[in-house]
Amino acid sequence: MMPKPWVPRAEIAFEVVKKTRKPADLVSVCVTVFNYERFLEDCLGSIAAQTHADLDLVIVDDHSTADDSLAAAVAWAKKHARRFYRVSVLTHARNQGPAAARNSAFEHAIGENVFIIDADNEIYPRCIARLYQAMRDGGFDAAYTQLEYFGDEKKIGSADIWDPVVIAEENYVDVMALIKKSGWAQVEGFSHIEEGWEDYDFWLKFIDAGLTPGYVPEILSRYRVHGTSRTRTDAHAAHEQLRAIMAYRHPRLPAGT
Amino acid sequence: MDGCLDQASGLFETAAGVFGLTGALPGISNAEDDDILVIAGSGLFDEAWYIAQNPDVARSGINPLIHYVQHGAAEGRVPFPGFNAARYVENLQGNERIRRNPLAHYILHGCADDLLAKGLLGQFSIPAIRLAMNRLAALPIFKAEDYLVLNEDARATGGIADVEPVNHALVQGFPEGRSVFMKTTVARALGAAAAKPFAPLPDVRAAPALPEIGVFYNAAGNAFIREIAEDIAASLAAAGQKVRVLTEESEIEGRPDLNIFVAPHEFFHIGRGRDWAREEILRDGFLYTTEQPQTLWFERAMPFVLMARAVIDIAPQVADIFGACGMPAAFFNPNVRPVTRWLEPGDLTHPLVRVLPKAARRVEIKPAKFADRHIEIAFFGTESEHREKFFAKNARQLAAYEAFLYYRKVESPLLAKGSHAALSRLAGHVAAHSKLMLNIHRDSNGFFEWHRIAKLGMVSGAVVVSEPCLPHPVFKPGVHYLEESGRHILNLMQWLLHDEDGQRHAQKIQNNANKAVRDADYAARNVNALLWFLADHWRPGAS
Repeated sequence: MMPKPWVPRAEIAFEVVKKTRKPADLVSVCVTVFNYERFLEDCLGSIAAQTHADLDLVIVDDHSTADDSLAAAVAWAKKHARRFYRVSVLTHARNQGPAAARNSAFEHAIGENVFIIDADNEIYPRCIARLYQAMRDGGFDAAYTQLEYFGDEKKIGSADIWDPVVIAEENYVDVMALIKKSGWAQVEGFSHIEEGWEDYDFWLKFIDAGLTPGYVPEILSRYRVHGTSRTRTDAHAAHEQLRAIMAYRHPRLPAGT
Repeated sequence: MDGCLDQASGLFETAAGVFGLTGALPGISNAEDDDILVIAGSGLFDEAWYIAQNPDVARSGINPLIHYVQHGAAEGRVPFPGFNAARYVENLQGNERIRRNPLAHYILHGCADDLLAKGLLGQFSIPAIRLAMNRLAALPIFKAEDYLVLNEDARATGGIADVEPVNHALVQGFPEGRSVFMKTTVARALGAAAAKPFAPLPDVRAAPALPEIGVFYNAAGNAFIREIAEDIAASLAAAGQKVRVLTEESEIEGRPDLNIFVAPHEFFHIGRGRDWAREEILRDGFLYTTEQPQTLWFERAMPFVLMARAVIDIAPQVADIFGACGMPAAFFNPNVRPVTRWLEPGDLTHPLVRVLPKAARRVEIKPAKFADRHIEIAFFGTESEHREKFFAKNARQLAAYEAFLYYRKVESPLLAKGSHAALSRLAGHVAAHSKLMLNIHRDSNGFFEWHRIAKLGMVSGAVVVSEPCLPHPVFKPGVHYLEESGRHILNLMQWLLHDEDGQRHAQKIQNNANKAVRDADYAARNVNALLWFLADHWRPGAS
């Protein structure tokens, strides 16, 4: 990525690395936090409980101000440092949005494969191991599972086989996925989009680059639903605007609805 | 149609007496004169009602019948309650042009059925519509009042646009995708059918002499339907019957004399299949129905099923329901053969094959004992409210198992050809590597989903664990598969997978199911019964 001297780099607030050699199976797990102190313990706990042994945990606090997410992350990392090959807590000097937070985490990650998760979500214990197995044995550039929605709504997600034609029309793949760091670099990371849909844009860049994620048909990731914040009208208007943004950024993909 | 009514006889004797009309009338042509006499003689014209409906006629002092023939008919006025002249004229179009007053024509040549609404089934004849209506009315899952509750706009209002509910349901309800059957009525009928004992299959008789049979599926439809069509054909062929698997792309005129159309809800609805929705094809055709009666898919097929020669259903209870309406109906599940290889060479690069554990990618599959299988729980099925609840509730427990849960939300059917064709083969392949095949029903109607339970699960040696099902004549819960409510099914699966007694029990169930799907004597009787059903109801030389 082109360096941007004016963008403040993430600073390391806390880090512990084992002195042993980097394990071959090391998977980086990147947690991005913004004012989610109340969910942090559950999210990080679900990562510590993974059956996959070798983990590199990178927590990025995107300058939370409404709560003390950073202190909570550091405290948790100190307490559970022994579970991980390396644990790092990064912090942004000012709030930069989810795309930048994820990019900071990817840059810092030392695993070849990086799982990204927002701090309000959770994963079941077999999640990383199963995705890693699929990536390793299936030759994919990324891998994702079916989602369980929890919180204010209980249901199953819409994940399905990666199909560029269908995704170009509508996104059904959450970015809570294991992603090859080389793939992330090839598409130049996440792009900040003022109106949202950075996840969708990220997958469309995968399609543009000819990269292929794989779908693991098991329900191993949990997505927290927070009420319903926007009115239908607002959402629809934003939807139209975002459609246009996506069409402009990915003109070669078929027109969606 | 001529002679439906006998009113034409003796017209001239009575006509004069009715209205006191004598001799030729001034300003009236001979044709109109004739119409008036015919109508007057029939007694159908309701003079008092006509005047009440048309105050202008009353004020004018013109004889109402003369007014009707000279002006009223052309102006769309109604000669008596319920006579819909436009519908009558429309129904006769294609047969003949009506050159005279429609009521007079109706009196001389028509019959009550000529006033039926054809709605969206305009390509079919009145007798075909009448046959289908009679069958629909006699179906235990149909109640006119249910239909009116579900479709308030179909209630009679007293005008000529009124259509009898059973007529409305057939020609508008089904084709417009309305709900026709009420879920409680369907459930009650299924419950009653489920309580009946199964008649044992008769012993094998010498096979009847039948011509080559065409077994049709829609190539643009669901991949599972294609498998069922192929299995029906294979079952017939194994009994020495000449048979061909065909699709909607085949030449209609070159079709075999005896045909089975699998999954009419797809076959006659997708692409070129619509061209096959012809009266002469249905009249001689055997329709193999695969859908559950509480679904819109089932309703979508109904006009065609009700016009067919006979129906064969994948579920015994639904065959029983069809039988109650007087049409020839039979239950048939294809004979299944053990499969040792599901995937085709091209499937190995399919994304869902690539995510399988390596040990479960082996293409050539030897029958494996319960303990030697690599995937613990397999599920294949599309989205429904019932399944959504089940998976959302049990996600945490399911996450602990090596599973393959292909719960699909995309609306399009699995295509028989094209990118997702591999999915149906994949389902069999995964089942063959799985210990348990989970069956969660689409809704609270506990169908015995033959394709998933027998064709995919039992044939592949997976132990089927299902929510309670409607009874099946061969496969019994606790013997060939296991039943448990959704609330406790995770407990059952845990016992089977992790408890030694459970594992032994699972192996016993696998052995029983293996034996049942390989029962050659049953297979012979099963297909022989189908051949005799075809022979008993097929009309030679009809095509």
